[in-house]
Amino acid sequence: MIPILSIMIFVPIIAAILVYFIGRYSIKGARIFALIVSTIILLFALYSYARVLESGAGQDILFEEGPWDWIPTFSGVDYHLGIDGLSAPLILVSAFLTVLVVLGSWELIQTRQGLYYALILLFAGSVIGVFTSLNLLLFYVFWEIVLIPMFFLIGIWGGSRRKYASMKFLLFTYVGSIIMLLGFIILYIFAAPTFDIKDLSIVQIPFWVQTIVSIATFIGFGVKLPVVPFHTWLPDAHVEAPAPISVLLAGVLLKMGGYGFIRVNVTLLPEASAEYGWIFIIIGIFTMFYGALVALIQKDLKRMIALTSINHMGFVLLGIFTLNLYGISGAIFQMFNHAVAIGLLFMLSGYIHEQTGTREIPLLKGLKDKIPRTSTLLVLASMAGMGVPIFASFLSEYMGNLMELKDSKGASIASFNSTIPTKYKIWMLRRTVMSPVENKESNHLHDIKTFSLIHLTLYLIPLVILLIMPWLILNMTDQFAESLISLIGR
Amino acid sequence: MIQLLETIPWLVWLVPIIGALLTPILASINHKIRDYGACLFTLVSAILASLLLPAALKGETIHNQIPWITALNIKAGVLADPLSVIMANVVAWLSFLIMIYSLGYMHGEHNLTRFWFFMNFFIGNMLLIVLSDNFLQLFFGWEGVGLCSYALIGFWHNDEIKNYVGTPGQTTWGLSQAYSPSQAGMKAFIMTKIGDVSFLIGLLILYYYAGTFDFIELGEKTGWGKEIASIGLFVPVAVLIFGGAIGKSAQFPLHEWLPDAMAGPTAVSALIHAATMVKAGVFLVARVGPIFYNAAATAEQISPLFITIASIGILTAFLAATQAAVAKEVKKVLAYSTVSQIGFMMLGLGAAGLSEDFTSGYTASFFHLISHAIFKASLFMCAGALIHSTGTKYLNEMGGLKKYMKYTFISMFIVSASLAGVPFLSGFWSKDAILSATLQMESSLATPFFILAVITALITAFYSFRMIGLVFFGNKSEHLEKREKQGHSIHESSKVMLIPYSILAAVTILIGLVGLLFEESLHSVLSINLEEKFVNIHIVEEASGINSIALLGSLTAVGVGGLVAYYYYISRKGDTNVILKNKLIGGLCRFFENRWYINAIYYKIFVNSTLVLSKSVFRTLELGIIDKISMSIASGSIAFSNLGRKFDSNIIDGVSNGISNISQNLSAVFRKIQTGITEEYVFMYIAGIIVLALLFFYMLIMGIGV
Amino acid sequence: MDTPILLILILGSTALIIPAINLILKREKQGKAAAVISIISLSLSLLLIIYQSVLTPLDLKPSSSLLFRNDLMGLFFAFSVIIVSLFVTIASLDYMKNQPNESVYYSLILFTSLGMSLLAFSVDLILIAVSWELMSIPTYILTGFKKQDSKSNEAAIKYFIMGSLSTGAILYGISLVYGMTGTTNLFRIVEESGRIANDFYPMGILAMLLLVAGFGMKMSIVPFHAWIPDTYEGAPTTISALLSAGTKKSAFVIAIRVFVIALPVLQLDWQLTFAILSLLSMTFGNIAALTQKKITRMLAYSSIAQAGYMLIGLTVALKSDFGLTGVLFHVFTHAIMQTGAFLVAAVVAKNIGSVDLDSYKGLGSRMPFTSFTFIFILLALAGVPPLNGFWSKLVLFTGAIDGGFTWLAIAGLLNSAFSVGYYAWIIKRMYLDEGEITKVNESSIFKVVLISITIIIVITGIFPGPIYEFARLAVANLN
Repeated sequence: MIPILSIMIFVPIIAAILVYFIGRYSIKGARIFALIVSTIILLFALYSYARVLESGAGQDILFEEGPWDWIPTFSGVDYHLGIDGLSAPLILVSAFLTVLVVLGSWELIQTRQGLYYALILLFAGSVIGVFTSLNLLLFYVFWEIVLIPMFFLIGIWGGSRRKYASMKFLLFTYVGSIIMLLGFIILYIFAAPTFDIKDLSIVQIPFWVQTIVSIATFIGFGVKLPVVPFHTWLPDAHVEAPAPISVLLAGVLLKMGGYGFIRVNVTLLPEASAEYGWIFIIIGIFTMFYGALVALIQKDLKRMIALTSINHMGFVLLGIFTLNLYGISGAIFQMFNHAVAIGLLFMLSGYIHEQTGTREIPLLKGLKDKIPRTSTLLVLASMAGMGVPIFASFLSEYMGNLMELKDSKGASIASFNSTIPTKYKIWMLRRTVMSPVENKESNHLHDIKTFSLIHLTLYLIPLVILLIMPWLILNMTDQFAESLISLIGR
Repeated sequence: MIQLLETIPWLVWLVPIIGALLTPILASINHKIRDYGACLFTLVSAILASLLLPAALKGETIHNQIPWITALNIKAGVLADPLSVIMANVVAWLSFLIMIYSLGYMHGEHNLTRFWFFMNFFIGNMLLIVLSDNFLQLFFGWEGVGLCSYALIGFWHNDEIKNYVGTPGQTTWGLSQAYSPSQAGMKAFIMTKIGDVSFLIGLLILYYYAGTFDFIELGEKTGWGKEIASIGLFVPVAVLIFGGAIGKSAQFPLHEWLPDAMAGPTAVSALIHAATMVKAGVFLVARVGPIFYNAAATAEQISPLFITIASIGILTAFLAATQAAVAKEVKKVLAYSTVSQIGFMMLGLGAAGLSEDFTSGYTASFFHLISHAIFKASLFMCAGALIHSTGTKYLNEMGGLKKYMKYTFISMFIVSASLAGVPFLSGFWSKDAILSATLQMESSLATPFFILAVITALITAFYSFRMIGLVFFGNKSEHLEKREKQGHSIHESSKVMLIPYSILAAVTILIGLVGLLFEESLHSVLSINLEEKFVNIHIVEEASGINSIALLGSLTAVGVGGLVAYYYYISRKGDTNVILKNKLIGGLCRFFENRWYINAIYYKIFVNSTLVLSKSVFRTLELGIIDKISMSIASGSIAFSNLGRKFDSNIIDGVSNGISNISQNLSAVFRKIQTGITEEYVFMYIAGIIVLALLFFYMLIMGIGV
Repeated sequence: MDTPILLILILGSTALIIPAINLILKREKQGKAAAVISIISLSLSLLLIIYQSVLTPLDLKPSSSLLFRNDLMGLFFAFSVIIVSLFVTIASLDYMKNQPNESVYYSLILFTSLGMSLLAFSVDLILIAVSWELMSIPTYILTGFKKQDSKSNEAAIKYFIMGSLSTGAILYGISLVYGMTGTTNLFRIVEESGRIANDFYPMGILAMLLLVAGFGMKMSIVPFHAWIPDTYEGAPTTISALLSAGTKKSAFVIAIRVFVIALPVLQLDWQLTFAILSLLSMTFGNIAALTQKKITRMLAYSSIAQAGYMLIGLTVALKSDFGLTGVLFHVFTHAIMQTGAFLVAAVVAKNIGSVDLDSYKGLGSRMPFTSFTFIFILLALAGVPPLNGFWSKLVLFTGAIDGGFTWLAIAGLLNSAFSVGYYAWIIKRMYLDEGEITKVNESSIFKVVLISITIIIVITGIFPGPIYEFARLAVANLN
């Protein structure tokens, strides 16, 4: 059979080089080519997703490739890929966002486009690598590759403080992942001489090893997710990055953290996660409220959105470490929805910035009259973020609350958290969209073109579909979560 | 045929939503088509709803389900039992009339597409609430209507001063009591959201133990009741769910949003904040109350819940009535009275649970719901008409309109009389029913509640007639004089506006005439419904009929309240300023005008504190600590490394400069190097060896690893 | 046939012949010719090594003489260093163009490489001393090769002084060992060691310390590092490449042979010593490198830090199989990366005329090719996967934890995390900062060298298998 996953990883990476050279001759060509490649990847992703779904067993690993020795005599360093109910949705959303980002960049990015699209594709490929690799070392390799294109994407196309932001991003995440690597090595030495996730998940790992490793991985994944206080890179990076890149950051990069927590901490270190889960839960709750509170008074629209994603990721962390069906399954669901919703919000902030020339919320007045299309979308996106039940985000938040409920550790207070996002989003809307038009002369702003309108609307489609047919995702995530929980039980 | 009948409930709530989605498309064709189209969709759903009536009045139930969230085994479905069908008809037909009215009222406004969209979307969601057969689906509609109300309150989002609600400049504790539409919308959304969250939590706990959201199943297997009760969560869960009702129906302590919601267009106030959405809470209690009552093992378990409901109801009723009595704006009078009347309904529902005949209170409050929906909608539309033609919303800027707007006067008089509870009008019967239900409560609270209810009824009568008096009697205010000078003649409102509220006035009389009959039929239908669904609910067969004490109470209330109002406001014999001189009454008035200071307190506590907190978190933690830490690590290492560079650069640069100063040739270099620099290196080298040696011997002596 | 002997023949003969070119050819032709010849001879010896190690690794017989040992370890190091000198030579073709007496320059390079490769094979302390000198002396001259440049001269002098100091230390240590065991052959020492009286322990310790100091000077470990930054800065940049990528590594092979084969018999706990030294080197090197203003100095300090990483391997050499393997692996990868880095510095210095890091601003658009390759080199130095630097470090740290030095591994990891700071800083300068935009021509020779280095980095990064296997076998067949 054809190695679909390897194709999904390496086709974009190789295509990246081509795109760069095409871009030297024709920018349009580069765009089209990038679009084609990313679409192909999306199709592959859809296919694999469908296969996982119709297999009806989210816990099994499909499309398994390998394990093939990478360094023959360095035992346990294999090339080993596969997807299950956890990775399939994340791969799908990454591929989906990549296509949309390529589309969205056509208007917003005007300089050195060849390089730009090359980096995007490189990012896409390596991210899929992260989500598919079943070997911790392979995982780490892709994990690190992801940083490089992101560093350049922020640093070259970013805003005024882009250099600072990109360096900060690189250093924070790199330090985090190095510590994560340390954890992996400790696992390798003291647990079993292998990096293979499948093998590791069967061996009984000593508790103290689990504890140490989960601390290390917590730092690694926590920086990515991010959890307070490792989050300071996030606002800068998101604010400075161009809108499409912020989409990738918030929509895909952050999810790597959540994925890691489930794939490594919960799967491989079940006892430690069960024992010290409450710490993570507390941190999660704290992160949630912290993000919400800080977001509440932000003046910069984009910064506010960025901080909201801290809030949501805190929710995810909480969900994961309640270690129950609703928690884990809901966390995956939430990651999916959040990726799409936040993506739309960031794109809109980008367009608003382009149209009005500012992102300062106090300065954005009466958008409803000035740029109706954009503001309508903004309202919809905020609704999605708020979990108003016209989008699937509601379902995931509802599952989240269910999880908190099931979890006896008094986490239920956290569900009040959902009022705070409502507050700041509504407040933001009130100040921007609903507020009266002030300076009359600037009323004739050009609204987004129909092309952008369409491609922005695409973001909402999954949310609506999943609202009506949530089983499309829950069927696989639930099975995954169930098997995971039974695993922890043993 | 029966298949068709089963699909109708779906259509009833789907049609308006589809209509809403079509609105933008119709708008692109032509504005007239858009407006009439919108009304058409509402009409269709109204007709569909009335198709359900015959079956429902026979007490039959239509229940139809489709799979939804299979993973959690949740089905979507519709439940058309008498309760929901009657409610649906009230909602749909009122909505239709109000849509017609809006044709005239909103005529010439900008971006009406949005208006029509949200109106229809609202109606759809409201009908979804009414017809859904499970909590989750109901919650969808629940949030949907909240959304629409938010959008419609803030419809005039340009915040022009004339659209403000409340008197600009009036402040309580330095907090302005006047709200711009957008602000009012936000306030409404967030306040109701609090209720929604408590509702949601309640739901989830319920689901967690009962394993289903389905009303029918919840009614059939009552095992979950004991389960929850065993961990002592029975009443809390019920109260949490009731919290949602409190939020939506603007009951104390979440009542503060409704008066400010009057910032929206009057049509909206009529539809959402009088006739339908605020009733959703009552409807919810009517749905949930029996379920819990049924599931409860013993009366001890259940009574706290219904006591809570009843006491919150009566408290709100009184609270709001007092504020209505001093309100300055016509719409605010109506808003407060809405809150107060809903309080009455809650009281009735509470009474139902506490008295041994469940249905009497149940029917009473439902009856009151219907009649109130009708006359309050009509009242609001009249108020809209007044505002339209007088160009002001303040009572004291109207006056003497009787001869200018005859029809409006007549219908408004009828409906406010009905509100006041004048005999042989719908309001009279329903209120009377509630009062008698209160008396039937098997609880020590029966008497005090009854007295308080009567007082409230008295105040109600007072402010109803006060409003009539201030608007239609006496002389024209100078505001109107000025307007006429400016050439706006005060005229009767246009037919398209006039007809709807006249119709409703007529209906009020109609129901009033057949009041008892209506109540009994309602009673029988509902009791059939309850009996077949819930085993533990005991019914006394015939309707309670007239309770003499209650009758006496309500009559006195109307009489006294009416007379006082007549004396001061209609005949204008007495001068209000005289009594306001009286310290006590004046103080009370100010107290009421400041909304009992509740609003101000909320703002002080919640809004400001949150902002302050988040500011401080951002300042101290985010910027102050966390950022600083990460920064200081970086800067620290840089400084440290700078130090290192200083050290070696001194040496190397010193040398090279020295060299260049003296000469370029080797000998000079030698000389220079002999004079010290490399010696440092050599010294370091030797020193290194020695240090190592020492370390080593130390280890040897300590015997580490040897 | 013995590899070392052949190497002596090939390299030595050409090294001797090359100066004779001056007699035959005209001045302007000499340099090119010399370069070509030395390139040929280097490639020949490289091929020989590859042949020996890849095609006939199994029928390697211990050398007839007791001086050499014709084993994979030697081949591995010879392989690494000769690749380095090959690259350096090719790069010099452009870098040293039209400098006075080039031919000498090349012959000296050949001598150094001969010395290095001999060092790789030698198992006799005397031969070690000799080839050590053979390796060092030419580099003294090469360092001061720019006669007019005072810095170059000064660097040469310092290097010379420190170098002779270290040689002295080594000789003294050797003599002590001889005095104790009565032999200079490492394996003999092992046999003889049984008869060492306990009173000799202090002497043995002293001997070991002197050897550590002697080798440590070339291995560039703290506190014997002081000369490094000045020398690397002053010397012609190609020579800095040779020094940091070549001679340093040969010092390591000797360290391995002496400390791992011979000295364990002294039953001394030198692990902790090495652990401390490596910690010092890593930390000091990285911190000092962070704010250097000149690329050469920065690379010097970074190479000190890298030496620290390798020391981790030596520390756990006896406890974990990963230890020595890691050292060898990292020796190879670091040789490649460091050569690349210094050659980039060389080409920039040649074309822009400055080694200041600030002159790298906007280099991405000025010298796109160089900068592009430099990204890979820097990332590899930082140890970012999937480049080769990552793997060798991974093996080293795994070894450290395996050998029970977890704290050392943590220190190393944190250090390499820290080092990203200054490596990425250069990338930032090249691509994110704006500088001059005047295009600079990049000579094709350098292009060839840099691209081949980049390819090696990437390939060995993606397929680390073979080289790792090579290192592992070399360690396995050590004794």
